[in-house]
Amino acid sequence: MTDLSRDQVRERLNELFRDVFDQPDLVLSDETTAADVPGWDSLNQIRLMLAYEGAFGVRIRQSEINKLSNVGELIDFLRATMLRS
Amino acid sequence: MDSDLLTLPLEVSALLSACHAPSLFAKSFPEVEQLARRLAGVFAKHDLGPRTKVRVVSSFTTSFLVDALRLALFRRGLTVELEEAPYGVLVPELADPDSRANSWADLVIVLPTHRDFQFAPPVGSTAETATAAELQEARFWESLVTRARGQVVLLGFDTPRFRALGELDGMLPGGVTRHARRVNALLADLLAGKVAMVDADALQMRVGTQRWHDERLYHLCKQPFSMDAIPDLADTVAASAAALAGKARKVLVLDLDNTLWGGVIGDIGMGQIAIGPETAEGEAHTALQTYCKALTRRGVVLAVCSKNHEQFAREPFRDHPAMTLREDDIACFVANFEDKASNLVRIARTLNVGLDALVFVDDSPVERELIASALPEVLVVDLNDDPASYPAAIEALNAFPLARLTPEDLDRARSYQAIAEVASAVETTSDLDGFLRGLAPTVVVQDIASSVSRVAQLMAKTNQFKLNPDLFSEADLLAGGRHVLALQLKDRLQDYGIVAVVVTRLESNALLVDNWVMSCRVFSRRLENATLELLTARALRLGASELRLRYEASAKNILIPGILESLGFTRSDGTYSVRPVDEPMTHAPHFMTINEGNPAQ
Repeated sequence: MTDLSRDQVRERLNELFRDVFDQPDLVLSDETTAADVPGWDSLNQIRLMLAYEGAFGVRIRQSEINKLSNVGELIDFLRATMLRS
Repeated sequence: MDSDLLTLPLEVSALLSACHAPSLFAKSFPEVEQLARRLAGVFAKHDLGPRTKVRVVSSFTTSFLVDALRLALFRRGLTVELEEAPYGVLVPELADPDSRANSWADLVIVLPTHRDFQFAPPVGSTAETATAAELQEARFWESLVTRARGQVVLLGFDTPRFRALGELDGMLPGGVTRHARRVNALLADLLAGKVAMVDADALQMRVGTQRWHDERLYHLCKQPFSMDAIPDLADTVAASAAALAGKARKVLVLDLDNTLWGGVIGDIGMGQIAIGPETAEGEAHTALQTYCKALTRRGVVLAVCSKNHEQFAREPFRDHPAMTLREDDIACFVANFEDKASNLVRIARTLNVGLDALVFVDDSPVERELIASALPEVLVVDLNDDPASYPAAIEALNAFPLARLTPEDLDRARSYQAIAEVASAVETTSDLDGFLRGLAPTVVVQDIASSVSRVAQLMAKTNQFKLNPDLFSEADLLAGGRHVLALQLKDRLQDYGIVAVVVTRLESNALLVDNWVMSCRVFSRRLENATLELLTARALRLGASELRLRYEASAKNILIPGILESLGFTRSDGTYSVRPVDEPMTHAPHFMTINEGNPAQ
């Protein structure tokens, strides 16, 4: 997987979130948290995790994901994971 | 399409249509899931008519499965109200007679895994201990799944990824693999005819062990299989449910040129078509014919729909030595130069089935596209241009699922042939009475105790001649308090089996008909006239002064009011139709000899 910029990762996450939450108008910013997105429950958390793996070609541990508090940290985490693999 | 759809917003109708795309469940899970979740939203917001109540009972998380299951059931003609039993209460829910599964649901879907075994013997057990444990396990589950008042679909037990006895885990006492296989076999015998069992081994094989056992997802959320296993699991379970509900399709409609043989017979002549062992191409078409022939042996009906002169089209079926299919195998043979959509409608009408009973196989993408848009109720099989792949493409759709096999199933192909013969005679003959008399029909009244399975199946499957939606379980039919008139029809062409059922009880001065169904296979035979005579005779014997029944309109039983009127029933209070027993019989003669079986009934 080639290096993706923060913007590229955010763009891709936007698409994934729009699919998972069925909200075509959703726009993510670095400050967005789980509380900001209606319907972000434990089931959707799992859907998202599997979606990140499919989209970015990485394997994610739930213990790592649970520590992240907003989309900005998620983007940093995913980029770091992609570089590692 | 169902006219109810016209009252829904356009984007909702479009979504419901998208749900019926033939190869949807062959796509990736995310695509299936997106549509499934949208469908869930539509189901929550809109009135789509009466719903079958379904309870899913499992010891694993079903949260990701249920939307796909709802979609799979919808695709197969079941609009459901779907509930999941709470996580982890599989055995208590099944054991409790007042549970939702046992008292509320019309259909219960039971999904155990090998993790739910109660009596799996330990490694080192003797063969005797293991055999006793297998029987105990099978009886335990049999007892649990036969308490529901509704129908049950049971997924058999899967085999574990981690084999304690290695390669011998399937063979030695103490192996969970052995326990699972043997328990499944015992359950299949114990539950035959009572519960629809899904073959877990076959499912596991199709999905693949890698996806069937997902340890990571199991630790994460207690779903033991990958998301990618969900479409196949959902559709396989839905297929059995549809079969129980009488929604399995019935007729495979086949094109001829480049489908049942290679080449265009009108251009190249019978001698040049590719069929038989000389070439790989011929072998591929032979394989398709052999596959279709096998389907007819267990109740699937074949029809031909071809753009050809009829005599050219029929010739190979009569005279070509390498054809596996013969004229006798085809219940309805249509070959002309009209458009195929009109021809499919004609085929459905001749065989007295709905368009939703048809599966269409044609190598031409143009014809497939045409039928898919003109007749959305017909299932169009997606094909590529390699005939070697055609049998697998049909098989993968599982369009003719079986929940149980009855003598009627085994005989159905011949029976439909007889139907088609009668239908065309009825259309063309100027002396219908003479024709019907010449068939020398006999009606035999069957004893309910020995025919209850077939009776229940007929009541579930029949849609057109059915007074109202009330169904009866086998237990209901055998209980006292109601009388079940089960009628078998035979004539010189065919034994049609049990084709009509009337459930009655005496209520003060009336013989109350709870329901009356008649198979579409015997329409135009005037059996309803003979049935009326039998009901009137029974009413007189019991001292009732009238017959009373309740008609409730559905999408499919619109012919009932006309028939009731011609039989002399009149609407009394808006709900019931009545017919006094001393009203003279003015219906057309049915020429049927009536054999009342056990007259004490």
